[in-house]
Amino acid sequence: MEERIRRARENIRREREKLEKRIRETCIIVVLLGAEGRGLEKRREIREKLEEEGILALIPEEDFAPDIAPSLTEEALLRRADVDLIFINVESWGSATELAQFHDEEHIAPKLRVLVPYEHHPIYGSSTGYLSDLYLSHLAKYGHVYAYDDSKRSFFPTSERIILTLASRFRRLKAMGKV
Amino acid sequence: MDEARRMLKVYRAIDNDHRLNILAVLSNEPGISFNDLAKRIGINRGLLAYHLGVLKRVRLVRCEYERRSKKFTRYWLTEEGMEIVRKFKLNENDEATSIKV
Repeated sequence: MEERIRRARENIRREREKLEKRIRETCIIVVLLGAEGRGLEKRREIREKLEEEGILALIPEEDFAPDIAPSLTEEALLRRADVDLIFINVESWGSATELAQFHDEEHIAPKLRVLVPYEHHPIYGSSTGYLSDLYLSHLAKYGHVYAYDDSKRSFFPTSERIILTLASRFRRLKAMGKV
Repeated sequence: MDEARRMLKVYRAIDNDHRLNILAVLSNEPGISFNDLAKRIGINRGLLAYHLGVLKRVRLVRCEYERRSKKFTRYWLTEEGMEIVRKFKLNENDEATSIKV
């Protein structure tokens, strides 16, 4: 079996590289974490747009096998899976807990892209407290804490725009072998 | 371009030993449950849930839910999944058959 998988993998890699060279693109895998309800609807819309761009986007609650609790799945995958980027929109206590859990995991933190409503951003906002402090620590250590405004009443970009822009650029950098 | 991008997604999805193993097992044991698949593949259940998610997202695998005493999921290859298994000779029986022919 191992030999069969090894041979198949070689052939797949060859076909993949041929196709990547032809269309000058590559495919990345991103995970979208966030809140339930309206947050989930928003993530579905973003997933669809990412997929149109040729990016494989996953929402754990919908895409992962339901036989196991999403939190267990997320912890395992974020540490060991071949995910390129993890976008976490901190818009609920659940997603805040996920950030607190993952923000200092050495295998996870570099892949994290944290999206925060601008009023809670440690630089642009005026909130104080545990979460703002966590954002600031993450920002100082890893960067990648982005302020957004989905109401479009300020000059901050929407969460969708941030995710699409960063994912597209990351994919291009990966295609050029720069990440 | 759309078709090329779709194929690129498929290749990215299957360019992974665990996911190829999953396809190989599903081709031999269609309808296998999540727990049995976890035992056969021998990986962490959380990670298996992720790999199945990737394969489902590119439509190589489908699942059905059965509600009996607790939530229970079974997995199958889709037509496209079977095509990939044949193309990259992931099922040992396929090769045995072609050698006989």
